[in-house]
Formats: sequence, structure tokens, C-alpha cells
Amino acid sequence: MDISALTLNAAWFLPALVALFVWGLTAFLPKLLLRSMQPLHMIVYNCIFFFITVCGVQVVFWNDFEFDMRGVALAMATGACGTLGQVFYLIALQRGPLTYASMISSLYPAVATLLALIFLPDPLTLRQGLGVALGLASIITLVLASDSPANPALPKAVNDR
Amino acid sequence: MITASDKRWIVPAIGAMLVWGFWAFLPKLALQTLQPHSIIFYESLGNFCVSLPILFHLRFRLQFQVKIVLLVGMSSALTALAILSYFIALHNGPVAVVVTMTAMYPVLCLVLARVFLKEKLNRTQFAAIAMSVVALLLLVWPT
Repeated sequence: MDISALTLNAAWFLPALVALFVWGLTAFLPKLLLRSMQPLHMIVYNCIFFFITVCGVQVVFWNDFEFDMRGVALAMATGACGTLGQVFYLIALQRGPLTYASMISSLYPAVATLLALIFLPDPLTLRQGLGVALGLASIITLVLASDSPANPALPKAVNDR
Repeated sequence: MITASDKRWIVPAIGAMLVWGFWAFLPKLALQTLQPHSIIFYESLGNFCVSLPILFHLRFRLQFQVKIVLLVGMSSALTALAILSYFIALHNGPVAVVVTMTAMYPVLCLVLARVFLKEKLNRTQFAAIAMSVVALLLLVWPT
């Protein structure tokens, strides 16, 4: 096995694993909280607390403050898309069945993959392509599996993408 | 009663898919000129572009229960940690692989529920877990 390839993998694999675990561990929290708080109120609170947290991160990187107009615009667009997605998702849930709304919205990695293929020279091996396809299939399967009355639907976290 | 035949949900559901797709992709472009810790800061300002109109819509009257608000705060802080990790991963890896891997977090929820809460899983859920494990191996195994 190529050790250098393993090192390269660790550079993105470990933080991706942290994200996966933290999102996985906290996915149930919004579900519980939505029993006591209206979704729109929760979106606003999320934004406020998210801002406070990242201000803390900025304090840690105090000497490394960056400003680049293009980067800032893209980052702000990222934030707007994230919150707008939550609003769209809530509207979809209000109007339609959870299963189908979740299934369609959880296909966002396909959109990101398509954008990357179009706009970035992002190399993707055949094996990784198969992994992406199988990963999307597993997400759809999971959403469809939630149809069973014995296993209530796993909600998409409201403070999530 | 909500039914699948009532199609008014399709447009917002597709809208969520599209804008979340952009959410996952745009940081990769921003990472060309900024570091992850800066992107997450400016992202939080972008969040307000949408949440401020919501706040106006709510007439600046937010529900307030100390315990619930504190829990929302904790959840948001953890989300910030996850997103920062996601940006760091995106900085070093291909978009398609990183976004697909992190989007499989509901599978982790199922596994945790099975292990710690002894919840029963149906066959389809087991199939989803098996598929995601294989997908993860395909995604991360070095070439």
C-alpha cells in the first residue's frame, strides 16, 4: 500500500470523519428541540449562536484575519444558501410527506458533485465515483426505510444543511 | 392531510436540494483565497442575510425558554465544529468525496441508536448501513 497516498487521505479523511461524527451525534438534538420551539425561531437562534461560536474561532486566529472580496462573497453566499436551504426544507415538510421531501433534499451531494465536475478540475477516480453513487443510494435507501411504522423517520436536522 | 399526490412540496424540496448543493460546493471556491476559519466567519454573516428577514417576519419576537435556548446554543456550537471540520476536509480533498462522506451521517445515527439505545432496525436500514460502509471504503481507500 502506498504510504504517501494514506497521508494525503488523512488530510481530508480525518476532518471529514469528525464532521460525520459530530453531525451524526447531534442529529437528534434539533428533533427534540423542535418539540418546544417553532422552526423559524430555531433558525434565527441557530444563526445567532453559530455567529457567537465562530467569533470565538476568530479570536483563536486573531493574528490571521483575512479579507478577500471574492472569497468573502463566496463564503457569505455559502451561509445564505445553507439557511435558505433550511427554509425551503421546512416549507417542503409543511406541504408534503417527510419521506419524499427528505429524499429529494438529501440528494444535495449529487448537485455539489455535478458542480465540481463542471467548474473544478477535481479529479475523481472510478472507485471514488462508485463510492459517491453508492453513498447516495444508501442515503435514499435510509430515507425510504423510514417508511416503516416501527422505525419513525430519521429527521434531517433543521440546523443542518 | 398531507399526501404525496399533493405536489406543492416538490418545488421547495428541489430548492433545498439545489441550494444545499451550492452550500456544499461554494466553500471549495472560497478556499482558493481564504482559510477555513475565515470562511466559517463570513459564512455566519451570510446566514444573517436570510435569518434577518425571518426575524422581521417574526416581528423580532422570539420564543424564549432558557433551557431550550441553551440547548439550541449547544447544538449550534457543535454544528460550527462540524462545518469547520468539513471546510478543512474540503480544503484537502475532492468535493464529491468529502460531501458524500459527510452526508452519510444519518447512517451513524442508526448505528448509535442500535448500539446504545438497542433500537431495532429493519432489513432496509441494515442494507443502507452496509451500502454506506462499502461506499466509505470505496471513497477513502487510497489508490
